[in-house]
Amino acid sequence: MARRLSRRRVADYVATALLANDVAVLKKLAAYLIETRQTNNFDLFVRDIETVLASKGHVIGDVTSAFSLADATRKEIDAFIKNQTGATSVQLRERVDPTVLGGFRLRIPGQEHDTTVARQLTTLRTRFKKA
Amino acid sequence: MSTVSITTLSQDLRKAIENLETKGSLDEVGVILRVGDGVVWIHGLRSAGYSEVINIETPSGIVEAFALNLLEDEIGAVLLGDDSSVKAGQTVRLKGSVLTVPVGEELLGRVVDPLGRPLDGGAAIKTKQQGIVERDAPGVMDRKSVHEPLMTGVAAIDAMFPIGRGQRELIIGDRQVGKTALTIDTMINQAKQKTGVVNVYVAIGQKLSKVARLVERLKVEGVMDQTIVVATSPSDPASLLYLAPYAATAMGEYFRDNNGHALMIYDDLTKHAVAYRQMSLLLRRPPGREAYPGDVFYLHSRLLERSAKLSDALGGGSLTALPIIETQAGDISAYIPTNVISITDGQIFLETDLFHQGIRPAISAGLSVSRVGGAAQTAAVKSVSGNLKLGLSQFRELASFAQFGSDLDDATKQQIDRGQRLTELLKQPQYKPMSVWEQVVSILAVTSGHFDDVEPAHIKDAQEAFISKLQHEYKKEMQELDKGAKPTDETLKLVEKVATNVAKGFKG
Repeated sequence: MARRLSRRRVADYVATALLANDVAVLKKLAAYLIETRQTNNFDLFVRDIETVLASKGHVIGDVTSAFSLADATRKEIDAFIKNQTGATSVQLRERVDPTVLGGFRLRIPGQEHDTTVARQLTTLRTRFKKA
Repeated sequence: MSTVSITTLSQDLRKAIENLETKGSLDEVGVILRVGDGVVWIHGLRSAGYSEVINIETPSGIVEAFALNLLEDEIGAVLLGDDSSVKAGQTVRLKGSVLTVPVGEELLGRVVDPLGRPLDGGAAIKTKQQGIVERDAPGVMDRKSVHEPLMTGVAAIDAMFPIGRGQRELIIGDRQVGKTALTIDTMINQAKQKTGVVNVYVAIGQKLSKVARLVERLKVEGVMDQTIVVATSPSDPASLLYLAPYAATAMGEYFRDNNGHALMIYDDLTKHAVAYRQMSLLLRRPPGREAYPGDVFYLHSRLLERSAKLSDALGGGSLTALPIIETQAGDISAYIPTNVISITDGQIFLETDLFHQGIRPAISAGLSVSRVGGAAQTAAVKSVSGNLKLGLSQFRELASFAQFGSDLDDATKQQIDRGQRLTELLKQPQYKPMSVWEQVVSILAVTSGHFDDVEPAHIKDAQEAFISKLQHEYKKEMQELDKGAKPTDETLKLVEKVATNVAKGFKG
């Protein structure tokens, strides 16, 4: 069996190829995952590739909010990401989840900005438990 | 039940909300990949440091863990709390600090867990300071050689294997031979002799019933006011057992660093090594001898190196350690015992055979040693205990030959007779530590031959009568002797005179 490479190294290689418009690298990645029996780790590879892409200025993020976002908010989030990470391009996936109660949660590879009421309540609960 | 007013509750809530983090920046986060057996594997958090605290957000609040395995693709962390609410996919964040525990005088008299949370049903502990759990040991220039005595109150130890403040003296022996009892007596002695030494007792995976009995006894003896008990039970996660001695040492270091003196009792490091082995195997670190990880030596060396006598420039405080190791069938050459023996400044070996013969404390004169304590021995005790260790260990060798009933020369006979009396003299009941003068006069009475005519069976009675007489009739002289200076010729003559008189009453 072929030697296993670290996910980080594979992700680095794939992300660099994708940035060079080498889409064929995805087939190679699929073959590698099948050969090394790591298909169940696919989502981890995707996360790692997104992390490498983010470090090279291409951020793909997820926004979760209790209600759908207004255009102005969307623009502000986009500007916020660019300001914080120095990204040149930002792609956002939006999701409505009423359990967050209010505010929004922004997740980009390896980082998060959480202003949801649900998180504030969790923090409060922990503080009262400790006291 | 105490009542809390609506105003107080409302104020608390307002304050808590005001203090919530509202910073407008991105936090570094990771996600839990797998969780089980108190260990979580995390994806992300690439900037996490070794031993850094990680907050796991669960629906029932934040659960803490600390990072121990920093791998290229994932992080292995050990949970510090209940793992029932921790699930794969949950978000984790770096707390931004290494593990700390509350330290300070507020902890005195309390029973706490390794994170400083009260276990005694008392109020929450609010200290002004926090101590780093994994702190570096003092450097060479920060130290001073061990020179002040730490009296245990156990005559056999103070006379033959003296312990100095800042020393690490291992107490080793099989189960049920009086290892913990010896340390309890030492703690009691600190209170009785008003030495000002703070006791920190660390129960590592000990039955809580045993800890409860110990705390009760310390309260009865009036020692609890200068004692901190850090307790973990066998039902606690291995991570807490692993942290217990480090956290307790941080609590002891507070006193050391503030010109005070503290005594650490680690009961016991065998269970600590076992807890670390469990964690290491679950973290998939390669097993070595007896399945312990490769750094099991470092586990204890970095802990015990924190015990030190500080230089005068740093206040001259001290942290003395009495680690306990449990052996199997008296085998001191097993892996963990040999490791800790080589780390410490000596060991007190307790023998099962002696214990069952009624010789308690069951200290083996031949296998026990104190490597640095000699310099710290009280002058008074030193002046009378010159050849005690050698004489006693030779006696135990000879005694085994004498059982065959062969003809013995006079010198050997006298050595055996003296040895029998010394053995009887050094027997000491539990919870009755002896003061300096009591030790000096008792040893002097036997080693100078005044009790030679007293039958070994009556030695303890003679000793009691002797001490009682001196205490009542020569209180002033004994108080002077208790200060620890070398006894004057007059004092020696006085003691010998009283010893001769008392011995007449017990002549066999």
